Amino acid sequence: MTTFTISNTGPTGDAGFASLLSWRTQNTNGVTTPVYPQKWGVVQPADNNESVAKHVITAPGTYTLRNLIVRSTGSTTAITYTIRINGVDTSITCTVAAGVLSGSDSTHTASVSQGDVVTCKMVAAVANSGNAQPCMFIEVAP
Amino acid sequence: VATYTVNARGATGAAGASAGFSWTAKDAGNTTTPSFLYAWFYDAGATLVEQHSTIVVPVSGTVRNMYITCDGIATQVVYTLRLNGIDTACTVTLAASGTSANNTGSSIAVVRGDRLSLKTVASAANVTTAWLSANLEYVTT
Repeated sequence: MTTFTISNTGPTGDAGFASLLSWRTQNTNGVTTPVYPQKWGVVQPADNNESVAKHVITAPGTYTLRNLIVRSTGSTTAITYTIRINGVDTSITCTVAAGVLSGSDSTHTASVSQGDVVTCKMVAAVANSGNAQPCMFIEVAP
Repeated sequence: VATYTVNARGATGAAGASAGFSWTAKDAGNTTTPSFLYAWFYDAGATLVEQHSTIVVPVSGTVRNMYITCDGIATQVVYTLRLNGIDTACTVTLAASGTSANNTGSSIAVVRGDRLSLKTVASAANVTTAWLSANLEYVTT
């Protein structure tokens, strides 16, 4: 006697991998107006010219941005980090208090289309020239 | 008695996403001979050393959709993606004083261990500080 058994369809395969965008800078450059860190980044002071090519990452595809994480060596003032698309703030933001070493936003997401320009904005609560050296990472998801 | 069990194949997993690879330099180099942007980021002008531009591909896939951003320099610059030291068809020409351009028509197959680099050739010598940046999508297979 021969028995054949055909089971139900197997489980769905694993989702593809995600990747990261990153910015890094030396400090907030001593001002409370917005400044912008370098993409990927060698440690340099941030500056206030958002459109400079060293600050921008042009999206080569269409993705969702999520899970902003900031790591810092500690600043003497609170700093608010905001992801921007085409020069407009998204809802992805986090504030790292004075003396605190990390912060994150795992709640908000933003859609980015091919060709969009992504930057990270920093605003210090008070003028600050301390060498906080923050680095910012955000997940790029399908 | 023989028993055979056949399990139907599961569904394919969701596609991944990759923001890809990036290169940067703060000028186009001081000659009209080929120069190279630095892999990811380095605070220096374009280099004559291709190794400084090298990104090694971790898994097989396709690279495509090259986007160039520049602060505008006084001469035309041609950007070419190179694979294992050889020019590919993925090129972008950015006119003098141009700030952005792209190539969305070229797809280059890559395998694990391949070396990618980003070559620039300026039409005239140029050492004016003006950041140049290239971003390229990388999709795994």
